[in-house]
Amino acid sequence: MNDPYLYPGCAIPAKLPFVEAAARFLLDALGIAHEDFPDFTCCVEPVGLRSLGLETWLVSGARLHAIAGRGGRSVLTLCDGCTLSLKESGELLDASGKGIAAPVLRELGMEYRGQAEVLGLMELLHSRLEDLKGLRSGDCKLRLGIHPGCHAEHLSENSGGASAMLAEIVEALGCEAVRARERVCCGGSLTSVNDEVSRKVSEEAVSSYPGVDALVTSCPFCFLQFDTVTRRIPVIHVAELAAGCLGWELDCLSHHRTRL
Amino acid sequence: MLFAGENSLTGIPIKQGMDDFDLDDISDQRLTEMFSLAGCQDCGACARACPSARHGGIDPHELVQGMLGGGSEENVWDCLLCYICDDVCPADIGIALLITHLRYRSALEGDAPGRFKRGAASFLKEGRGFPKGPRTARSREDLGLPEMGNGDRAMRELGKIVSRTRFSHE
Repeated sequence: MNDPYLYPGCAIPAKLPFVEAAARFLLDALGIAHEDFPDFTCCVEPVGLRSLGLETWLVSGARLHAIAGRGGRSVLTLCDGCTLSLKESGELLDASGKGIAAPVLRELGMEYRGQAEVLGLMELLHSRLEDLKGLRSGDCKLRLGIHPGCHAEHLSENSGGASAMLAEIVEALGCEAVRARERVCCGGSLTSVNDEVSRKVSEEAVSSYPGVDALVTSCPFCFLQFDTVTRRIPVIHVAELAAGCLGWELDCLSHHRTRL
Repeated sequence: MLFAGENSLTGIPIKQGMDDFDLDDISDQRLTEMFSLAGCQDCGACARACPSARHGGIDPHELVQGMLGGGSEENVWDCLLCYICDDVCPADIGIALLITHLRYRSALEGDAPGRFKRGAASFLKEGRGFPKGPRTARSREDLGLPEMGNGDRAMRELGKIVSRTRFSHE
């Protein structure tokens, strides 16, 4: 079986490179051979860019699926926005959008032959719970608010829910998981668009996890919102948490704006 | 399947609006048909679940009912695209994708928020929705990560796609 292509997205390499470093450490620690996605371009993220170019998103998605298909690879994403964008473009291409993408792909010498398997890092970690338990060096003892992010929640609607998945990862790492009573949003999509609504939505989210040491998320946009905008409570990306528990020595928390 | 466990993220929920994709006509009438809005049960579950609606932003129930009644005044740029409305809708209306279509229409008229236009500029220049920051290169080097940058071939192919599709970056 071929190794997956690692698709790091845009936000993590540019704004949170320590999360990318943690993810690469984890892949090595778990023995997941991989290659970087060849001829990477943005997934046309689903909140802003896609709204400006639905057709651009669909055809870009067709190109990315075609590259993965050509290599016979699955796609391992670090960002849940990318996961959603790629899975939705694949579904739409298969359902009715293939004809729109075909002429442009033909000009590029490519052909869309069905969607690639796209899997997020959180899903990968969840499929390796026993390995995480076996490899971890001691309990991390933190009490963590489970905030996977809206896109992971949507994607897992039919498969048990992202909160349950993230809570099981956190517990496998020896931490305490605290779940919100209802699904809450970080509000980041409205930062600099409607700041008043964004602030209220974000306040509602941080108030949903009383008594926690920090939030844990798998979404870089939730991370950026809590760490650099809301700044009421520290936040940890699940890749940093898992890598740290497995012996990664880098003090990634020094990169955070809101310190634990 | 390489990694998929019992609780995998595979099996994305399929909603109304995916099986008839066509951007040539994005009028209210066409979108009402495409997203089967007549199937709305008028239950208001989407509005109760919507974080934006709870705090004075867009109300997805008002949006759908407004479109069925001949037009909606809701501001589609106040949507968080969190998909909670999709996940609670008993009629499986793909409200998030509907709102994305309405935003696309608004963007074609030049009404996209500045934040998203800045993301578009980065996308066109670097092939990435988030540009490198002033400290990105140094941080990546310190972390032992490869340099960030899209190859010439990737940028050429992206340029071709952008030139052949409608993309509202101004």
